[in-house]
Amino acid sequence: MTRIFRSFGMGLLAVALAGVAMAPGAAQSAEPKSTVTVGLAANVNTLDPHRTATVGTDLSVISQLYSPLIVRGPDMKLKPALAKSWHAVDDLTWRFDLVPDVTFANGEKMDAAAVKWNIERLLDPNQKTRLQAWFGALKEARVIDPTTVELVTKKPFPALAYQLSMLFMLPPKWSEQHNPAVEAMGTGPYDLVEFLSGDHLELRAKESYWGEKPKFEKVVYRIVPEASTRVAALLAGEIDLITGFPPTEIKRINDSGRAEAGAVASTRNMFIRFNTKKPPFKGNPKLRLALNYAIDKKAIVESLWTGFGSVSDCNALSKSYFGYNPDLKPIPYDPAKAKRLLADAGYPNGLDVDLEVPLGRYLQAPDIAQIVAAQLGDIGVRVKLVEEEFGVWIKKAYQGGQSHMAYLGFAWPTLDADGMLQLWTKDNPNSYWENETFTTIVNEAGSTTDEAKRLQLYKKATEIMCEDSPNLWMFFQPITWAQSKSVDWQKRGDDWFRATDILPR
Amino acid sequence: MSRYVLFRLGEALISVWGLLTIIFVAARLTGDPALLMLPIGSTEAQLAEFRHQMGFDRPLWEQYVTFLINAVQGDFGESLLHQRPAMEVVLERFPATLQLALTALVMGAVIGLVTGFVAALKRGTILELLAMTLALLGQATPIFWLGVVLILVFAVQLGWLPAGGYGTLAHLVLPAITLALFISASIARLLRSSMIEILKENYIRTAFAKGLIIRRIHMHHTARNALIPVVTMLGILAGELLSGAVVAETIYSWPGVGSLIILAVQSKDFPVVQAGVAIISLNFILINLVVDLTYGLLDPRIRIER
Amino acid sequence: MKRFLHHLVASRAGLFGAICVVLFVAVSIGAPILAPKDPLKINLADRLASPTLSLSTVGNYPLGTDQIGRDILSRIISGSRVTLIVAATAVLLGGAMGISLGLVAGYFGGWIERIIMRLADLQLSIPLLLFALIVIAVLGPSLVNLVIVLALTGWTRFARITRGEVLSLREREFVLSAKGAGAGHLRILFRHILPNVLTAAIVVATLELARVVILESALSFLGLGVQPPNASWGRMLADGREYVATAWWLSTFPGVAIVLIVLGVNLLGDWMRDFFDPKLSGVR
Repeated sequence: MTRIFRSFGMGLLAVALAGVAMAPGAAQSAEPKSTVTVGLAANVNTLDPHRTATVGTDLSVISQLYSPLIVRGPDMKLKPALAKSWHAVDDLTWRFDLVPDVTFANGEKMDAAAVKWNIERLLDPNQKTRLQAWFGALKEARVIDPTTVELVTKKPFPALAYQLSMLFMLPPKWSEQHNPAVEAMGTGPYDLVEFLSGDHLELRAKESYWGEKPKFEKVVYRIVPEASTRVAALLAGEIDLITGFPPTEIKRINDSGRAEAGAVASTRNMFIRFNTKKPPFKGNPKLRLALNYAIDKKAIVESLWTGFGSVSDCNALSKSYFGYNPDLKPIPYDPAKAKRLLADAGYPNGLDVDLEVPLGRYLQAPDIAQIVAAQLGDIGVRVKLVEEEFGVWIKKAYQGGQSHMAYLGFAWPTLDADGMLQLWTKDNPNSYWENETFTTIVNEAGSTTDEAKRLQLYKKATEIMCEDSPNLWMFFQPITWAQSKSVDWQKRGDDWFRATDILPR
Repeated sequence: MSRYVLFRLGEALISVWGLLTIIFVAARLTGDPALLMLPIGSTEAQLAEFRHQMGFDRPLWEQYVTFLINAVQGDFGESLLHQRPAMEVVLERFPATLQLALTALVMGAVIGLVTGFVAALKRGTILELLAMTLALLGQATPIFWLGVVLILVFAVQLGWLPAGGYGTLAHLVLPAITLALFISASIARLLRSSMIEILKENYIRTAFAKGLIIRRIHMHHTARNALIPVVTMLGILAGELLSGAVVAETIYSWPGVGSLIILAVQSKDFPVVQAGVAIISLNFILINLVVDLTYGLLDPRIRIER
Repeated sequence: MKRFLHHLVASRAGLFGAICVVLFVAVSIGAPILAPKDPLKINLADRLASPTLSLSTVGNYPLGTDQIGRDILSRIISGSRVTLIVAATAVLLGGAMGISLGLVAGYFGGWIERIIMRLADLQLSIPLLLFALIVIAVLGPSLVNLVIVLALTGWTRFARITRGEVLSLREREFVLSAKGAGAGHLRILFRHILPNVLTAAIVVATLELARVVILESALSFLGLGVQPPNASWGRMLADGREYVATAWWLSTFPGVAIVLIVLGVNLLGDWMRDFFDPKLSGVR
């Protein structure tokens, strides 16, 4: 009786919402599945492996067409690919033993000379490659013999092996006559059949793949930008695997009985960046700490993301990263303490601050920002929210023009502390924090390949990060996934979205 | 007549040039492609190197002159995102846009004309109420809402039609209906209103007095004059649809120019923005030319050759 | 008798429209008193609560709650003011600009017409998103600039429709005879042409009203618009977009509010047209 409106609503949309379970379309075939269809949230713009840094779409598809020297599996561990094995010869030289007799589909050899050509293309300024930024420390490649190649770096590059899992090898001769942006000729498990930009890509398993035989005969990547449409296509049985929809959909998908859904914690650390270069946050770590105590991070994860996602351990890294410090714990929600600290910091009556919210980039950013503003309001910090289009915001923020606070997130694709923590060193344009000690430690750790020493240094660096509170540490946002009942995706928290991680069942 | 068309086309070229100049300067105000194209953690030097390679570090006028010289030859530069000619990227999406726009326009015009006509002739009846309710809903329902609901019903629940995508006729049905409903609302309301207006006018009453049969009056006098605002509105809607129906394209995963250009604007892919806007403005100019020529057919008193 | 009935129906509809509009205006003025709950109060425990109707309990949400647990009814009421002001200003500004430019273009023709119509083409050819970003870059984000963007994207419709009508009207007998009688341009434009253009213009205005409110939701993705936590109907629509399938009430109720105000304005517009129509005075 009290639920008149609910029943009215169900009546209104009954056709649409109620009878999901009865519909056809999800019929299971007895035959082993030969085609897998994957829904991508954004367009695949280019297939040129060196001219895109977008892991979730471009590079994921490229990884099915081309091979890297080293690959990172769903367990986040490195595995051999074109390189059977590798080791550091000295601090500046790495040696790779290649799998012999691998050829591109056109007959070109995938040998040491091909690696050298690829490295040269990558580093050539005239080639306008986008991955240069990841390989700034790389100097050159040296051919030792057809199956042995050495990579020489300008300074020690401890994360090189991880970084190489994002570098795919093009065939030298073919690439000079074709445009790798729209065509493909690789050594990967699949060949390109069709690429209709903005709509779909079709791949077919290679006849003679040098590695493990792919599980599916055909892979279709479909571009479906709208999250609710991706879910609908999955429920309708058109698509086997999707990611990146609002966590509230998980229950609906599971309740439908047609598919299953869940979420994994991603490697993207979300936080509120204080501008410590100007008042009121300049030289006032107590104030920054006070704000850290004022936010109930756990409640936000529990409600907004129905429990998926994990609260940050008071620093930039999560368990997935090399260099993670297991001794650091999240700052608890303690408004009373926050108020005390606020008074100690010189603001017994609170203060007024701006919080910038870049739009269209991070999961539910406006919602989170509004909750943060309300909770900060509870301890007397009056927040004015300023929403801005991402492109507009980042241009300003890169030039040091960020206001008091901004909600954003970073993930480092190699999952290595070096790249991630560099973003907080004092000269980095992403950093609004000028901490000499931290910068020195991170730079020192980045210039050695001694893992034990690096771990020790990162432990210290992350401790400083926690103590000095350059950010209001929030959480690692979840990656939601949903799959049909005929496939099983090996879930991973980085952005890689590869057909080879999908198993039929 | 052909002189008039030639004259209009010459004028069109001048306006396209003006528009491209505005877009060229304005697009560069809205952001920096280096920050959006290069991975996070790029150093200042790497960002500067990228801007240099792309020529964004040269003086604006110099970039502009190069752009104009190339654009005249049909070369709008290479897309920063797609790494192939920007115009090719835009034109490749155009068939999908054209297909959706034309289908939606024809469907919307037919539905709109019928509803508007019925509503005007049957004033005060239940038919008018029905027709105008339909028009009201079409006009005030957000496209995304209608889109999601239609997908839930026809793709998820009934399984009759695909949940978005492009290729077959079945893929076209839902997006076309969604847009047609929106278009028909404008057409129906304008037609009804103009018809009611004109039905009241003297010369219709004179026609009654002369004893003409009612059907003839409707078809010839009322409808033709009432069609002028309808044709104008159809022109505007056609232009907008041919520029890409962004929301419908996104909801239905339709690979049209609208979502392409939006993405290019967001990621500061200037060449694609410029090529896209050039195509869109040509569309508008051509459509408006057709609209003006149609005026002359509808009402011979309108003389466009001046 | 039949004609009389017609008019009764018409005016009854007009009355209903007037009531609708007055009601919304009253609600928007009295919003702070009328909202049953604090429209800004976040309640994470009650997020996405479905609509319930009961008079007894306090924790009740007649239209449900949004994605961070705010009362939707209260937000629709409190958001009505800014929504209606922005929409009305944008439509009136766009209408005034478009109708006058359209009149001038259609009546005088020649180079004036060409310049005005090419400006309209230019305006229509700039993608909305880019245009909004340009305005943000040059003028900054604010409510006034939101109105400017909405009005500037709307004037072209008024201008094209008006011009099309004028092209036909200016060759009609009554205009030609007024000209013959020595009436000045202004007199002809305002006394003889404008009243006949208004019919179509009023329809365009009601179409624009719906367009502008929905457009505001698109612009809220760019940060051009009502800044949170304050509500506007467009913003609420935008927020509800992701939840159409899981929590339909988020986008549906603001949508219903838009339908109602557009309905009211439509009916009122129809009635006003009949009322002010010079040709009808003899009939009534």
